[in-house]
Amino acid sequence: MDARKTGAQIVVSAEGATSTLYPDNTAAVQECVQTAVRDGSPVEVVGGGSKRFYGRPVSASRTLSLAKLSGVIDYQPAELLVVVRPGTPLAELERTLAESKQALAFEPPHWGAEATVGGTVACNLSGPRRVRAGAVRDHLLGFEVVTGRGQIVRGGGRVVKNVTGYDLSKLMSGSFGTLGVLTELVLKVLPAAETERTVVVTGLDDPEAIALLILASRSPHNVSGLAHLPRVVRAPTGLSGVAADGEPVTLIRLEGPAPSVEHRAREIVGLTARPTTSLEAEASASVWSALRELAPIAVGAGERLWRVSVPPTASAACSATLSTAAASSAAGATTTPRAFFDWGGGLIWCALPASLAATEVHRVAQEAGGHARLVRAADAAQESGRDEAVDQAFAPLDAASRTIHQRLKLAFDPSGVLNPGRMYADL
Amino acid sequence: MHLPEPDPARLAKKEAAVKALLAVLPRECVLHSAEDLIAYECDGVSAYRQAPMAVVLPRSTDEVSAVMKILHGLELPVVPWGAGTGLSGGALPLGDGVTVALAKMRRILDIDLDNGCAVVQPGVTNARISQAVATEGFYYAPDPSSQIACSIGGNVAENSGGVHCLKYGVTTNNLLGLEVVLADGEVLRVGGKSLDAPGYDLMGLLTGSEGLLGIITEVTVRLLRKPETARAVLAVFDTVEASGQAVADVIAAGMVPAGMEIMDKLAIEASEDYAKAGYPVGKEAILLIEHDGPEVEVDYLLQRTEVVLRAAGATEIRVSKSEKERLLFWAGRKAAFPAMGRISPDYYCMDGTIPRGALAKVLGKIRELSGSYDLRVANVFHAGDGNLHPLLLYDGNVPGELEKAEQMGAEILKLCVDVGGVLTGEHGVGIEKRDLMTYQFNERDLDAMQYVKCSFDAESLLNPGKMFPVLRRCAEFGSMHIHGGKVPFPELERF
Repeated sequence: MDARKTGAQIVVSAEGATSTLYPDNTAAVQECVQTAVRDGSPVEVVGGGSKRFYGRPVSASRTLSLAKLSGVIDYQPAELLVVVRPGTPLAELERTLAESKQALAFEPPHWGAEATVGGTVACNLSGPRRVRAGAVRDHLLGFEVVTGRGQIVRGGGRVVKNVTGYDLSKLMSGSFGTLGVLTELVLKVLPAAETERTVVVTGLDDPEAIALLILASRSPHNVSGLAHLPRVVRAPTGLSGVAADGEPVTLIRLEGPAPSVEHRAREIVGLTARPTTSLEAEASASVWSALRELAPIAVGAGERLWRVSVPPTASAACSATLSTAAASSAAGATTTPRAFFDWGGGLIWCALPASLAATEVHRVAQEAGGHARLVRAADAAQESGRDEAVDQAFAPLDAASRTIHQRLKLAFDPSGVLNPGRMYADL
Repeated sequence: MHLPEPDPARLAKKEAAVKALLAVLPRECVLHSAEDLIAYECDGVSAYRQAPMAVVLPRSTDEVSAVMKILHGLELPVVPWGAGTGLSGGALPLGDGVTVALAKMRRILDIDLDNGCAVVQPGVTNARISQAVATEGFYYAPDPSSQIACSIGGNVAENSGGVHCLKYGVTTNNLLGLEVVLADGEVLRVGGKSLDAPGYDLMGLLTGSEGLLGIITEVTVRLLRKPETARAVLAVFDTVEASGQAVADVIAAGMVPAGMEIMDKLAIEASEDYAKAGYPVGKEAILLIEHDGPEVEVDYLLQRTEVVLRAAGATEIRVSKSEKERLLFWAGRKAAFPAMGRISPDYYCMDGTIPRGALAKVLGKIRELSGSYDLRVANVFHAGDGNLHPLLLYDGNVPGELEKAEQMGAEILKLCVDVGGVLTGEHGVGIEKRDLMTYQFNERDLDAMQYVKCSFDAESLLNPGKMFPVLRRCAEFGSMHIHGGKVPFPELERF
């Protein structure tokens, strides 16, 4: 397509072989999708592009950017909801909410300044508070979407309690733009915590740390962050005062009104015989922000970043198994497998060498009762073409589930024009 | 409401169906004589009744699968049945269909507190899950009023709520995994004990699908640690509108209470007469607020709540001083529905959700409707999440009164949609609100829902006649058949 304005609102810019469409309203998005269907020419749907590396790459000659479909449409603090366009920068929305002392309870990772609300929903990407407050999918109350049939569909509503028809908001969350292009989102928001404190325990090995996190999560103290950083990962800078360099650190966060945080932090300290320190308010917030943005793991050349979601009791062993498998896959390798734990052990972030086959990572995760997802493919391989692991970025589906996935894709996007292959080869 | 006429061609298959079912299930698990079917004629909406062709009571996932294969082969429709307590006619039988009741699948399979979950069969009651883990200090959060009787499978199918949703969410926010048997007998497992799963969120789709997508045969629920303490405030207001504003003020002050309930004058009177909870009879409205958590937090929040309530014009504020008093505050609210039986032969319970800010407008309009239809209305309101339960009082023995109540109910639900709300907050669409779906959704919105239906049950054998006013044939949406694992358009690049 030429670099020109098509219709009234679609700005097109061309860079090399790929052109990018920038619709700024729903009708323009619809026109883009209808054109894609008519031309049999798929589009890659992006928000700010901050998570483009996450999942499988899309091969499309056009990019459909939602960057110009941006802004808060309606924000009603008393109704605990906000209606936004998908291209709204996440940081901008969070600032708006903070002015009314509210927040997105699922504490989304940004992974870049360009992160948008639409991309966050499409990836169903939730941060450390997920253990307590739920995921993105638990906060998407309603949406407007242009399906792959080029039709504008609304689902859900603008109220927190709603069982009218199928819960399509759940289907849209985490579907990576493969079923429709989100054009409007209704999100539940909650009051921000008055204050927070993080109890820090040092020197625990992985099984000891996970045992402590499980103990904390079983307590009645409403913990809202449960992480463990083993020796091999970098501790965020905010921890330099409370832990020696290279020392394993276990973190337990309490949020709420000050007297309550004070009381619960004391109770949490009582769960361990080891010495503890604590981080208050902003110091606590900056450490969790660093974890959310994956600061503890820098992925080097020849490495892949994985996220492995498992039952907490299985996580220490699962991480150890991956580490052993990584070591045996790369004889004489220069990199060390590194991992840290969030969600009380329920989520392992790990850098593994590209020599460890993706199928092996999926198998280990599955045997632990969970699943793995490739977050970032190996850089070296990307330069020389593509890393074969991206083909299996998402865990394989069993036959029954796969059939339903294929039918959903065919129903919502029969011509396969929206982010083809983003999640699985045939979706 | 017009019930579908049984299809004679399907009725003719009864003998063959019973014979085939008896080949895979023992005699006591296949009910087909008229007197055995009476207990299954209606669910919680007793105004609509119809006996099914047969009822089967499978005892395992394998048996559910075998039953579904047989019925799929015979092309007979299936209506799943949990405990029959639903409030939208979602389990209303079909005269030419088979009801699959899950009552014999009632084992708790696994309690795993370290991973914060339990794995249970669908026939386990909601309350039994919490009872099973109570001594360890845990509970399952969603608490529909019928929790002593309703089954977890039914809760999942309806995405049931309760009085603590604002803080703890509804069913869908408290699940980790599901096993379902699909229309053709295939078994689908989604999720497990981890916090998310690969692929699309099929668990989210299945939850609240009202028995139209699959039969739930196993549920992994999240368990929460019981709060250390809970205390309630009862505040009295001169108008319902003032109590609604007080709710907005509490939220604006940054608090998310465990529960917020409003009752109006008629609801107060009826409840007090029945439950003797010490409610202020004659007052226009009461607002119940509960805070839970550590004692120090609850004390702090109660103090702040009192300040907000006073500023909002509460004429009287009572704070529970003991667990006994807290339960007494709630006793009146929980008795609201049964109490209606004392002041009216019948009542019809509505379930719309509205933006909280629209409360005054909606209540004013309900008052007008009450006058023009000459039917009394008692209002009970999950104020925290905007879920309104107007109870329309009528006498089913007076010809035309049920129809009048239905008509007035439909007007109230349309009103909920008009102010930006929805038809149903926690009871489901079922058969009751089916014909109103087109008021909330346009044809394309409904088509998108039917894409989901067609992806799970293309022949529409699961609970047909519920949820959708018009069920379009899946073929109208184009071919969605997967041949040998291959999708159409093989020439299209999809990597």
